[in-house]
Amino acid sequence: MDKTLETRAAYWESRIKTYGFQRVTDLSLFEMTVSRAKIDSLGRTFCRLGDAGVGFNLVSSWASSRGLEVLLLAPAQWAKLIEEHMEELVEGPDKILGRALPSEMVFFHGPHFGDRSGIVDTALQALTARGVQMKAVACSGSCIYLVLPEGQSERAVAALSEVFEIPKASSHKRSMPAG
Amino acid sequence: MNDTIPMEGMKVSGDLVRVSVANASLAEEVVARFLGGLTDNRININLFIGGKGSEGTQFTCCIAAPDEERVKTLTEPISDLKGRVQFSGPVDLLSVFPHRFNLKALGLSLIALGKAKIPLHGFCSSLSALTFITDHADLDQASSVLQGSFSLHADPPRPFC
Repeated sequence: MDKTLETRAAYWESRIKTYGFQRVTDLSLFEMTVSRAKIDSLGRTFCRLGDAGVGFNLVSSWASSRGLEVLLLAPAQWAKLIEEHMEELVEGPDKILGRALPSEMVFFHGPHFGDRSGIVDTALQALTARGVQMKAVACSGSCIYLVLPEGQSERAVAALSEVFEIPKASSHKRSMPAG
Repeated sequence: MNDTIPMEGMKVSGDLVRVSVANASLAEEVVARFLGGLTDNRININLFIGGKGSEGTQFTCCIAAPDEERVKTLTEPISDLKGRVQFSGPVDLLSVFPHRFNLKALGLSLIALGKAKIPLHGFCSSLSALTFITDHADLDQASSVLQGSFSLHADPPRPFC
């Protein structure tokens, strides 16, 4: 008989605690499909934008049959400059497709996020229940990012506040955009 | 233009499998059913990236390798995922930090990985880190080229989130 004792613990809450929802408005979302052969070209474009002082709020990408689908969320003030740099990449046989959409973002984190199950599921259920549409979602590190159409972030925070525990002082704090 | 910029550290999360629907378009309720199954079975996701790509709503996520069979079992009853969901591994998450919301940090990373022809299955930013999904077989080379792109401290001074 195995006499080894094992202790297993799980972090569970009836209502998941957060450190508050951060809402960011006046953003532009750039959606691109980048051929794998153009990844270093995209890198050079991002370097040039970085040298020009352009910041970002979120970048995410996943591989598809057409290459890498890339999302870049940045302050709207940089939209024209980003578009100009992206246009340089559109030339040639391996085209990078792109479009910019006015967007907003809500992001949040909480205790032990990143090590627990069910948090993004709870968030998406809350948004669906209130009819809030999303453009993209990303969970990385201990943060959950929700990219929303322009004008939707307040409704999203209201929907999330119904299912998550929030510290009273910071539930609707608006954070400073990057850049 | 491609001069290096200071970064403080690098972190690897290994023993992962990538689960993705990337060559089809999913209804949002299908993604919800997938995530609901993971929640019901207390399966954690190390990284989740979803959005509308050129072919519709898609996602990529990384789970612990020991959870792969359970997740395969969970996806089988979801008919809309049949033939669309792919499991591939082993993969690692390679993170560099802090990016300071500077696009140059991402640019230098992509140049390094692209020049080395290291297959990149996705990437994502968090508050501090840039995280890249790479095959485990390429981990050493990916780490090496990223270290070469940044002035990395030998000992990461602080964690990231």
